Amino acid sequence: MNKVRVLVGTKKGAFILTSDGKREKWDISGPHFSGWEIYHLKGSPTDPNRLYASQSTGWFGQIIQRSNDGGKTWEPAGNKFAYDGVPGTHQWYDGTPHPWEFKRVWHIEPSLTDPDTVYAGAEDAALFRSTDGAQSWQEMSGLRGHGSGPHWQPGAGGMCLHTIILDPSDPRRIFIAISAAGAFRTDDGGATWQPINRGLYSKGIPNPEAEVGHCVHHIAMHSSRPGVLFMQKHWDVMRSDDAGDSWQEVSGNLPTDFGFAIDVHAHEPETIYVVPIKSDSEHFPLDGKLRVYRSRSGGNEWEPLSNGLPQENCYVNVLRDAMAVDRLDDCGIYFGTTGGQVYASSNAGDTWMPIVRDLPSVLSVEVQTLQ
Amino acid sequence: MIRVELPYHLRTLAQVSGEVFLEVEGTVTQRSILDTLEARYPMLQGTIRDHSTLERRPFLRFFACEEDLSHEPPDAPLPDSVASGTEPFLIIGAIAGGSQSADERTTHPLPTAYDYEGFVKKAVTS
Repeated sequence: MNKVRVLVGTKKGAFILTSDGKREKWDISGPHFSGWEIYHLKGSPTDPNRLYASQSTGWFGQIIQRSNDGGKTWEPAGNKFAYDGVPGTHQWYDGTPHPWEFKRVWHIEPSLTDPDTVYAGAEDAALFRSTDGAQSWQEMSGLRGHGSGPHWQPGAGGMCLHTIILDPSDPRRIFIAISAAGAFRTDDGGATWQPINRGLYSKGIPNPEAEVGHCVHHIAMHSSRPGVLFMQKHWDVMRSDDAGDSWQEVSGNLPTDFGFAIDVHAHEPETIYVVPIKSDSEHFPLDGKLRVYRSRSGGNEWEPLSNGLPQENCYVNVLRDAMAVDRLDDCGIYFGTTGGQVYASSNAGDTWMPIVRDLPSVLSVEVQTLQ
Repeated sequence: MIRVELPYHLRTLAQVSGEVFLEVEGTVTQRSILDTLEARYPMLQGTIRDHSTLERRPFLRFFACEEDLSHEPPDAPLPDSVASGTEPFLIIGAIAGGSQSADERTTHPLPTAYDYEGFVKKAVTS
Protein backbone atom coordinates (compact mmCIF):
# COMPACT_ATOMS: atom_id res chain seq x y z
CA MET A 1 0.00 0.00 0.00
CA ASN A 2 1.29 3.42 -0.85
CA LYS A 3 2.06 5.97 1.82
CA VAL A 4 2.55 9.68 1.76
CA ARG A 5 5.03 11.58 3.88
CA VAL A 6 4.69 15.36 4.01
CA LEU A 7 7.75 17.27 5.20
CA VAL A 8 6.86 20.64 6.68
CA GLY A 9 9.39 23.32 7.56
CA THR A 10 8.18 26.06 9.88
CA LYS A 11 9.52 29.04 11.77
CA LYS A 12 9.72 26.96 14.93
CA GLY A 13 10.70 23.49 13.82
CA ALA A 14 9.98 20.70 11.37
CA PHE A 15 6.96 18.45 11.29
CA ILE A 16 6.45 15.17 9.45
CA LEU A 17 2.92 14.21 8.46
CA THR A 18 2.25 10.67 7.26
CA SER A 19 -0.79 8.92 5.90
CA ASP A 20 -1.74 5.91 3.85
CA GLY A 21 -2.82 6.25 0.24
CA LYS A 22 -6.30 7.37 1.21
CA ARG A 23 -4.85 10.52 2.77
CA GLU A 24 -7.69 10.84 5.25
CA LYS A 25 -6.02 10.11 8.59
CA TRP A 26 -2.67 11.61 9.40
CA ASP A 27 0.01 10.98 11.96
CA ILE A 28 1.99 14.04 12.95
CA SER A 29 5.49 13.97 14.40
CA GLY A 30 7.34 16.99 15.63
CA PRO A 31 8.43 19.52 16.29
CA HIS A 32 11.86 18.37 15.20
CA PHE A 33 14.56 20.96 15.93
CA SER A 34 12.09 22.78 18.12
CA GLY A 35 12.47 26.53 18.16
CA TRP A 36 14.69 26.70 15.06
CA GLU A 37 13.69 28.01 11.67
CA ILE A 38 13.45 25.14 9.23
CA TYR A 39 13.49 26.78 5.85
CA HIS A 40 13.32 23.52 3.94
CA LEU A 41 13.61 19.77 4.19
CA LYS A 42 13.52 17.25 1.39
CA GLY A 43 14.08 13.55 0.76
CA SER A 44 16.29 11.80 -1.73
CA PRO A 45 14.39 10.44 -4.74
CA THR A 46 16.62 7.35 -4.77
CA ASP A 47 16.60 6.69 -1.03
CA PRO A 48 13.39 8.08 0.46
CA ASN A 49 14.61 7.52 4.01
CA ARG A 50 17.51 9.89 3.42
CA LEU A 51 16.25 13.33 4.35
CA TYR A 52 18.07 16.62 4.56
CA ALA A 53 16.92 19.64 6.55
CA SER A 54 18.07 23.25 6.67
CA GLN A 55 17.98 24.46 10.27
CA SER A 56 18.96 28.01 11.23
CA THR A 57 18.54 30.93 13.56
CA GLY A 58 20.00 34.39 13.64
CA TRP A 59 21.77 33.50 16.89
CA PHE A 60 23.52 30.27 16.01
CA GLY A 61 23.64 30.33 12.23
CA GLN A 62 23.18 27.42 9.88
CA ILE A 63 22.90 23.73 10.67
CA ILE A 64 22.26 20.98 8.12
CA GLN A 65 20.55 17.90 9.52
CA ARG A 66 20.46 14.50 7.90
CA SER A 67 18.23 11.51 8.56
CA ASN A 68 18.67 7.95 7.33
CA ASP A 69 15.38 6.62 8.65
CA GLY A 70 12.76 8.89 7.18
CA GLY A 71 12.98 11.52 9.88
CA LYS A 72 12.74 9.35 12.99
CA THR A 73 16.27 10.29 13.99
CA TRP A 74 18.60 13.02 12.78
CA GLU A 75 22.28 13.87 12.92
CA PRO A 76 23.97 17.20 12.27
CA ALA A 77 25.96 17.23 9.04
CA GLY A 78 28.38 19.81 7.67
CA ASN A 79 27.48 23.45 8.03
CA LYS A 80 30.47 25.23 6.56
CA PHE A 81 29.35 27.20 3.52
CA ALA A 82 32.35 29.14 2.30
CA TYR A 83 32.18 31.20 -0.86
CA ASP A 84 34.78 30.28 -3.41
CA GLY A 85 37.67 32.75 -3.59
CA VAL A 86 37.14 36.40 -2.79
CA PRO A 87 33.35 36.76 -2.62
CA GLY A 88 33.25 40.36 -3.81
CA THR A 89 30.12 42.48 -3.59
CA HIS A 90 26.57 42.61 -4.80
CA GLN A 91 24.23 45.59 -4.64
CA TRP A 92 22.54 46.47 -1.40
CA TYR A 93 18.96 47.76 -1.28
CA ASP A 94 20.18 51.32 -1.80
CA GLY A 95 22.34 50.37 -4.75
CA THR A 96 25.65 50.53 -2.91
CA PRO A 97 28.12 47.63 -3.05
CA HIS A 98 27.63 45.13 -0.22
CA PRO A 99 29.93 42.23 0.62
CA TRP A 100 28.65 38.75 -0.07
CA GLU A 101 27.77 37.23 3.32
CA PHE A 102 26.40 33.77 3.98
CA LYS A 103 23.19 33.88 6.01
CA ARG A 104 21.24 30.65 5.55
CA VAL A 105 20.19 27.85 3.25
CA TRP A 106 16.77 28.41 1.74
CA HIS A 107 16.41 25.27 -0.34
CA ILE A 108 17.90 21.78 -0.39
CA GLU A 109 17.70 19.68 -3.54
CA PRO A 110 18.89 16.08 -3.33
CA SER A 111 20.32 14.54 -6.48
CA LEU A 112 17.99 12.51 -8.68
CA THR A 113 20.48 9.63 -8.78
CA ASP A 114 22.75 9.65 -5.73
CA PRO A 115 21.52 10.05 -2.13
CA ASP A 116 24.89 11.44 -1.04
CA THR A 117 24.83 14.25 -3.58
CA VAL A 118 22.76 17.24 -2.61
CA TYR A 119 22.51 20.89 -3.64
CA ALA A 120 21.85 23.87 -1.38
CA GLY A 121 20.59 27.30 -2.36
CA ALA A 122 21.96 30.00 -0.09
CA GLU A 123 21.41 33.59 0.98
CA ASP A 124 23.43 35.61 -0.05
CA ALA A 125 22.74 33.94 -3.35
CA ALA A 126 24.99 31.04 -4.22
CA LEU A 127 24.66 27.39 -5.11
CA PHE A 128 26.52 24.80 -3.08
CA ARG A 129 26.93 21.07 -3.68
CA SER A 130 27.90 18.20 -1.45
CA THR A 131 28.87 14.76 -2.72
CA ASP A 132 29.42 13.17 0.68
CA GLY A 133 25.99 13.28 2.22
CA ALA A 134 26.19 16.94 3.29
CA GLN A 135 29.36 16.51 5.33
CA SER A 136 31.21 19.07 3.21
CA TRP A 137 30.02 21.72 0.78
CA GLN A 138 31.63 23.35 -2.23
CA GLU A 139 30.30 26.41 -3.96
CA MET A 140 29.45 26.05 -7.65
CA SER A 141 30.97 29.43 -8.17
CA GLY A 142 30.46 29.59 -11.91
CA LEU A 143 27.02 30.95 -11.11
CA ARG A 144 28.17 33.99 -9.15
CA GLY A 145 31.10 34.36 -11.50
CA HIS A 146 29.15 34.51 -14.69
CA GLY A 147 29.44 38.29 -14.73
CA SER A 148 26.28 39.87 -13.45
CA GLY A 149 26.75 39.00 -9.77
CA PRO A 150 27.92 42.49 -8.72
CA HIS A 151 24.59 43.85 -10.05
CA TRP A 152 22.34 41.43 -8.17
CA GLN A 153 20.18 43.03 -5.51
CA PRO A 154 18.19 41.45 -2.67
CA GLY A 155 14.43 41.19 -2.67
CA ALA A 156 12.47 42.03 0.46
CA GLY A 157 13.24 38.62 1.90
CA GLY A 158 16.95 38.82 1.22
CA MET A 159 19.10 37.86 -1.73
CA CYS A 160 18.31 34.20 -1.73
CA LEU A 161 18.78 31.34 -4.13
CA HIS A 162 15.47 29.63 -3.46
CA THR A 163 14.76 27.36 -6.41
CA ILE A 164 16.87 24.47 -7.71
CA ILE A 165 15.51 22.21 -10.46
CA LEU A 166 17.51 19.27 -11.73
CA ASP A 167 16.75 18.13 -15.27
CA PRO A 168 15.91 14.41 -15.18
CA SER A 169 16.81 14.02 -18.85
CA ASP A 170 20.19 15.74 -18.68
CA PRO A 171 22.34 15.54 -15.54
CA ARG A 172 24.39 18.50 -16.72
CA ARG A 173 21.42 20.86 -16.85
CA ILE A 174 20.26 22.71 -13.71
CA PHE A 175 17.83 25.59 -13.34
CA ILE A 176 18.00 27.97 -10.39
CA ALA A 177 16.25 31.17 -9.39
CA ILE A 178 17.33 34.07 -7.21
CA SER A 179 15.38 36.92 -5.67
CA ALA A 180 15.86 39.44 -7.08
CA ALA A 181 18.31 38.50 -9.81
CA GLY A 182 16.16 36.13 -11.85
CA ALA A 183 16.47 32.65 -13.33
CA PHE A 184 19.67 31.00 -14.55
CA ARG A 185 20.55 27.74 -16.29
CA THR A 186 23.66 25.68 -16.66
CA ASP A 187 24.08 23.13 -19.44
CA ASP A 188 27.52 21.94 -18.40
CA GLY A 189 27.06 20.74 -14.86
CA GLY A 190 27.54 24.13 -13.25
CA ALA A 191 30.77 25.32 -14.84
CA THR A 192 29.01 28.12 -16.72
CA TRP A 193 25.59 29.69 -16.38
CA GLN A 194 23.38 31.93 -18.42
CA PRO A 195 20.51 34.14 -17.31
CA ILE A 196 17.18 32.92 -18.71
CA ASN A 197 14.92 35.91 -18.23
CA ARG A 198 13.99 36.94 -21.76
CA GLY A 199 10.32 37.77 -21.86
CA LEU A 200 10.07 38.76 -18.20
CA TYR A 201 8.79 42.28 -17.61
CA SER A 202 9.19 43.86 -14.17
CA LYS A 203 7.94 47.38 -13.69
CA GLY A 204 9.87 47.97 -10.50
CA ILE A 205 13.35 47.90 -12.00
CA PRO A 206 15.09 50.55 -14.12
CA ASN A 207 14.94 48.46 -17.28
CA PRO A 208 11.77 46.34 -17.07
CA GLU A 209 13.20 43.89 -19.60
CA ALA A 210 16.69 43.66 -18.13
CA GLU A 211 18.72 40.50 -18.53
CA VAL A 212 18.96 40.19 -14.73
CA GLY A 213 17.19 41.87 -11.84
CA HIS A 214 13.79 40.18 -11.90
CA CYS A 215 12.18 39.00 -8.70
CA VAL A 216 11.40 35.41 -9.60
CA HIS A 217 9.47 33.80 -6.76
CA HIS A 218 9.41 30.17 -7.84
CA ILE A 219 9.70 27.85 -10.83
CA ALA A 220 8.13 24.43 -11.38
CA MET A 221 8.71 21.72 -13.96
CA HIS A 222 7.07 18.40 -14.81
CA SER A 223 9.63 15.62 -14.99
CA SER A 224 8.27 14.28 -18.29
CA ARG A 225 8.82 17.64 -20.03
CA PRO A 226 11.96 19.21 -18.66
CA GLY A 227 11.97 21.92 -21.30
CA VAL A 228 8.67 23.34 -20.08
CA LEU A 229 8.93 25.62 -17.08
CA PHE A 230 6.26 27.50 -15.14
CA MET A 231 7.17 30.56 -13.10
CA GLN A 232 5.47 32.60 -10.45
CA LYS A 233 7.22 35.93 -10.70
CA HIS A 234 6.69 38.72 -8.17
CA TRP A 235 3.87 39.79 -10.43
CA ASP A 236 2.94 37.59 -13.43
CA VAL A 237 2.69 33.87 -13.99
CA MET A 238 4.98 32.88 -16.83
CA ARG A 239 5.66 29.87 -19.04
CA SER A 240 8.64 28.78 -21.08
CA ASP A 241 8.60 26.03 -23.70
CA ASP A 242 12.29 26.26 -24.51
CA ALA A 243 13.99 25.61 -21.17
CA GLY A 244 13.89 29.24 -20.20
CA ASP A 245 15.27 30.78 -23.38
CA SER A 246 12.05 32.76 -23.65
CA TRP A 247 8.99 33.30 -21.47
CA GLN A 248 5.37 34.15 -22.14
CA GLU A 249 2.90 35.46 -19.62
CA VAL A 250 0.06 33.04 -18.83
CA SER A 251 -1.63 34.93 -16.01
CA GLY A 252 -4.82 35.00 -18.10
CA ASN A 253 -7.94 35.38 -15.96
CA LEU A 254 -6.27 35.16 -12.57
CA PRO A 255 -7.80 37.72 -10.17
CA THR A 256 -4.29 38.81 -9.23
CA ASP A 257 -1.07 37.44 -10.62
CA PHE A 258 1.05 38.22 -7.58
CA GLY A 259 1.98 35.17 -5.54
CA PHE A 260 4.74 32.88 -4.43
CA ALA A 261 3.94 29.20 -4.92
CA ILE A 262 3.50 27.31 -8.19
CA ASP A 263 3.47 23.59 -8.95
CA VAL A 264 2.54 21.06 -11.61
CA HIS A 265 0.17 18.08 -11.37
CA ALA A 266 2.11 14.82 -11.06
CA HIS A 267 0.48 13.16 -14.09
CA GLU A 268 -0.85 16.05 -16.17
CA PRO A 269 2.01 18.28 -17.33
CA GLU A 270 -0.39 21.00 -18.49
CA THR A 271 -2.20 21.21 -15.15
CA ILE A 272 -0.65 23.80 -12.90
CA TYR A 273 -1.50 25.43 -9.58
CA VAL A 274 -0.91 28.84 -8.06
CA VAL A 275 -2.20 30.66 -4.98
CA PRO A 276 -2.97 34.25 -5.97
CA ILE A 277 -2.05 36.80 -3.30
CA LYS A 278 -3.55 40.29 -3.29
CA SER A 279 -0.39 42.31 -3.83
CA ASP A 280 3.19 42.86 -2.82
CA SER A 281 1.93 45.37 -0.29
CA GLU A 282 -0.70 43.07 1.18
CA HIS A 283 0.54 39.52 1.45
CA PHE A 284 -2.81 37.80 1.90
CA PRO A 285 -5.53 36.36 -0.35
CA LEU A 286 -8.04 38.60 -2.07
CA ASP A 287 -11.13 39.40 0.00
CA GLY A 288 -10.04 37.08 2.79
CA LYS A 289 -10.81 34.03 0.63
CA LEU A 290 -8.13 31.39 0.35
CA ARG A 291 -8.26 29.94 -3.15
CA VAL A 292 -5.92 27.81 -5.16
CA TYR A 293 -6.21 28.42 -8.88
CA ARG A 294 -5.79 25.56 -11.34
CA SER A 295 -5.15 25.72 -15.04
CA ARG A 296 -5.60 22.56 -17.08
CA SER A 297 -4.28 24.26 -20.19
CA GLY A 298 -0.80 25.21 -19.04
CA GLY A 299 -1.92 28.70 -18.11
CA ASN A 300 -4.17 31.53 -19.27
CA GLU A 301 -7.42 29.80 -18.32
CA TRP A 302 -7.71 29.40 -14.58
CA GLU A 303 -10.41 28.08 -12.26
CA PRO A 304 -10.67 28.80 -8.53
CA LEU A 305 -10.55 25.87 -6.14
CA SER A 306 -12.13 26.71 -2.81
CA ASN A 307 -14.04 23.65 -1.60
CA GLY A 308 -12.79 23.07 1.94
CA LEU A 309 -10.69 26.22 2.13
CA PRO A 310 -11.68 29.20 4.30
CA GLN A 311 -13.75 31.69 2.33
CA GLU A 312 -13.94 34.48 4.84
CA ASN A 313 -11.57 36.26 7.18
CA CYS A 314 -8.51 34.42 5.90
CA TYR A 315 -5.39 36.57 5.78
CA VAL A 316 -2.53 34.12 5.57
CA ASN A 317 0.18 33.83 2.96
CA VAL A 318 1.51 30.81 1.10
CA LEU A 319 5.25 31.04 0.62
CA ARG A 320 7.26 29.98 -2.42
CA ASP A 321 8.37 26.55 -1.25
CA ALA A 322 5.15 25.74 0.59
CA MET A 323 3.31 23.81 -2.13
CA ALA A 324 3.97 20.27 -3.35
CA VAL A 325 2.28 17.33 -5.04
CA ASP A 326 2.32 13.59 -4.44
CA ARG A 327 2.52 10.94 -7.16
CA LEU A 328 -0.44 8.75 -6.27
CA ASP A 329 -2.90 7.93 -9.04
CA ASP A 330 -5.25 10.61 -7.76
CA CYS A 331 -2.68 13.34 -7.50
CA GLY A 332 -2.54 14.97 -4.10
CA ILE A 333 -1.82 18.68 -3.72
CA TYR A 334 -0.52 20.16 -0.48
CA PHE A 335 0.25 23.62 0.74
CA GLY A 336 1.08 25.31 4.01
CA THR A 337 0.28 28.80 5.21
CA THR A 338 1.88 31.44 7.35
CA GLY A 339 -1.03 30.84 9.71
CA GLY A 340 0.22 27.32 10.41
CA GLN A 341 -2.32 25.33 8.42
CA VAL A 342 -1.34 22.55 6.05
CA TYR A 343 -4.08 21.80 3.55
CA ALA A 344 -4.31 18.67 1.42
CA SER A 345 -6.36 17.67 -1.56
CA SER A 346 -6.47 14.02 -2.59
CA ASN A 347 -8.31 14.78 -5.83
CA ALA A 348 -6.11 17.22 -7.67
CA GLY A 349 -7.55 20.23 -5.92
CA ASP A 350 -11.30 19.64 -6.24
CA THR A 351 -11.72 19.45 -2.46
CA TRP A 352 -9.43 20.31 0.42
CA MET A 353 -9.04 19.46 4.06
CA PRO A 354 -6.63 20.70 6.68
CA ILE A 355 -4.16 18.11 7.92
CA VAL A 356 -3.16 20.41 10.77
CA ARG A 357 -4.33 23.89 11.66
CA ASP A 358 -2.05 25.30 14.30
CA LEU A 359 1.57 24.78 13.41
CA PRO A 360 4.04 27.65 13.48
CA SER A 361 4.18 29.70 10.32
CA VAL A 362 4.88 27.30 7.44
CA LEU A 363 7.97 28.00 5.36
CA SER A 364 8.06 24.91 3.15
CA VAL A 365 6.16 21.78 2.21
CA GLU A 366 7.55 18.76 0.39
CA VAL A 367 5.89 15.42 -0.28
CA GLN A 368 7.28 11.93 -0.63
CA THR A 369 5.20 9.16 -2.18
CA LEU A 370 6.33 5.90 -0.60
CA GLN A 371 5.73 2.28 -1.59
CA MET B 1 38.01 21.15 34.93
CA ILE B 2 36.45 24.06 33.03
CA ARG B 3 32.72 24.53 33.32
CA VAL B 4 30.87 25.86 30.27
CA GLU B 5 27.24 26.76 30.18
CA LEU B 6 25.65 26.68 26.74
CA PRO B 7 22.39 28.30 25.70
CA TYR B 8 19.40 25.99 25.44
CA HIS B 9 19.48 25.47 21.68
CA LEU B 10 23.14 24.58 21.64
CA ARG B 11 22.69 22.14 24.52
CA THR B 12 19.97 20.51 22.45
CA LEU B 13 22.14 20.46 19.36
CA ALA B 14 25.08 18.94 21.24
CA GLN B 15 22.74 16.62 23.13
CA VAL B 16 24.01 17.64 26.54
CA SER B 17 22.18 18.68 29.66
CA GLY B 18 23.44 21.09 32.24
CA GLU B 19 26.99 22.35 32.18
CA VAL B 20 29.71 20.94 29.95
CA PHE B 21 32.96 20.03 31.69
CA LEU B 22 36.15 20.35 29.67
CA GLU B 23 39.81 19.60 30.21
CA VAL B 24 41.57 22.55 28.59
CA GLU B 25 45.28 22.33 27.94
CA GLY B 26 47.52 25.33 28.51
CA THR B 27 46.29 28.79 29.34
CA VAL B 28 42.57 29.01 29.73
CA THR B 29 41.29 31.58 27.26
CA GLN B 30 38.15 32.08 25.23
CA ARG B 31 39.92 30.54 22.27
CA SER B 32 41.21 27.50 24.12
CA ILE B 33 37.83 26.84 25.67
CA LEU B 34 36.02 27.14 22.34
CA ASP B 35 38.64 25.06 20.52
CA THR B 36 38.23 22.31 23.10
CA LEU B 37 34.44 22.62 23.09
CA GLU B 38 34.24 22.37 19.30
CA ALA B 39 36.63 19.44 19.21
CA ARG B 40 34.42 17.57 21.69
CA TYR B 41 31.20 18.63 20.00
CA PRO B 42 31.89 19.19 16.29
CA MET B 43 28.25 20.04 15.65
CA LEU B 44 28.85 23.32 17.48
CA GLN B 45 31.37 24.50 14.90
CA GLY B 46 30.04 27.62 13.26
CA THR B 47 27.30 28.15 15.83
CA ILE B 48 29.27 30.19 18.37
CA ARG B 49 31.91 31.73 16.16
CA ASP B 50 32.36 32.02 12.44
CA HIS B 51 33.91 29.02 10.72
CA SER B 52 36.58 31.01 8.95
CA THR B 53 37.24 34.17 10.95
CA LEU B 54 36.56 32.55 14.34
CA GLU B 55 34.84 35.76 15.37
CA ARG B 56 32.01 35.52 17.88
CA ARG B 57 28.61 35.43 16.26
CA PRO B 58 26.95 38.82 16.72
CA PHE B 59 23.97 37.63 18.77
CA LEU B 60 26.08 35.76 21.32
CA ARG B 61 27.97 37.02 24.33
CA PHE B 62 30.57 35.52 26.65
CA PHE B 63 30.28 36.09 30.38
CA ALA B 64 32.06 34.96 33.52
CA CYS B 65 32.34 36.20 37.09
CA GLU B 66 29.59 38.75 36.49
CA GLU B 67 31.58 40.39 33.72
CA ASP B 68 30.94 40.68 30.00
CA LEU B 69 34.06 39.27 28.38
CA SER B 70 32.70 39.38 24.85
CA HIS B 71 35.01 42.10 23.68
CA GLU B 72 38.13 40.81 25.40
CA PRO B 73 40.87 39.44 23.14
CA PRO B 74 40.26 35.74 22.47
CA ASP B 75 43.72 34.83 23.73
CA ALA B 76 43.50 36.82 26.96
CA PRO B 77 43.67 34.59 30.05
CA LEU B 78 40.29 34.15 31.70
CA PRO B 79 39.85 34.77 35.44
CA ASP B 80 41.41 32.22 37.76
CA SER B 81 38.00 31.21 39.05
CA VAL B 82 37.05 30.11 35.52
CA ALA B 83 40.35 28.29 35.03
CA SER B 84 39.87 26.50 38.34
CA GLY B 85 36.26 25.62 37.62
CA THR B 86 34.90 27.65 40.49
CA GLU B 87 32.91 29.80 38.09
CA PRO B 88 31.41 28.75 34.75
CA PHE B 89 32.15 30.31 31.37
CA LEU B 90 28.79 31.39 30.04
CA ILE B 91 27.81 31.49 26.38
CA ILE B 92 24.60 33.45 26.15
CA GLY B 93 22.21 34.31 23.36
CA ALA B 94 21.16 37.94 23.23
CA ILE B 95 17.58 38.67 24.14
CA ALA B 96 15.96 39.75 20.91
CA GLY B 97 12.33 40.36 20.29
CA GLY B 98 10.13 41.08 17.33
CA SER B 99 10.01 39.09 14.13
CA GLN B 100 11.47 35.62 13.95
CA SER B 101 14.38 36.44 11.74
CA ALA B 102 17.08 37.85 13.95
CA ASP B 103 18.16 40.15 11.15
CA GLU B 104 14.84 41.92 11.42
CA ARG B 105 14.60 42.06 15.20
CA THR B 106 14.90 44.89 17.54
CA THR B 107 17.85 43.68 19.49
CA HIS B 108 18.09 44.80 23.03
CA PRO B 109 21.52 45.39 24.49
CA LEU B 110 22.56 43.07 27.25
CA PRO B 111 22.75 44.44 30.76
CA THR B 112 26.21 45.15 32.02
CA ALA B 113 25.47 44.20 35.60
CA TYR B 114 22.93 41.57 36.48
CA ASP B 115 22.17 38.37 38.21
CA TYR B 116 23.35 36.13 35.43
CA GLU B 117 21.60 33.01 36.66
CA GLY B 118 18.36 34.89 36.31
CA PHE B 119 19.49 36.25 33.01
CA VAL B 120 20.26 32.81 31.67
CA LYS B 121 16.82 31.59 32.60
CA LYS B 122 15.26 34.57 30.90
CA ALA B 123 17.44 34.21 27.84
CA VAL B 124 16.65 30.58 27.24
CA THR B 125 12.93 30.93 27.69
CA SER B 126 12.38 34.04 25.61
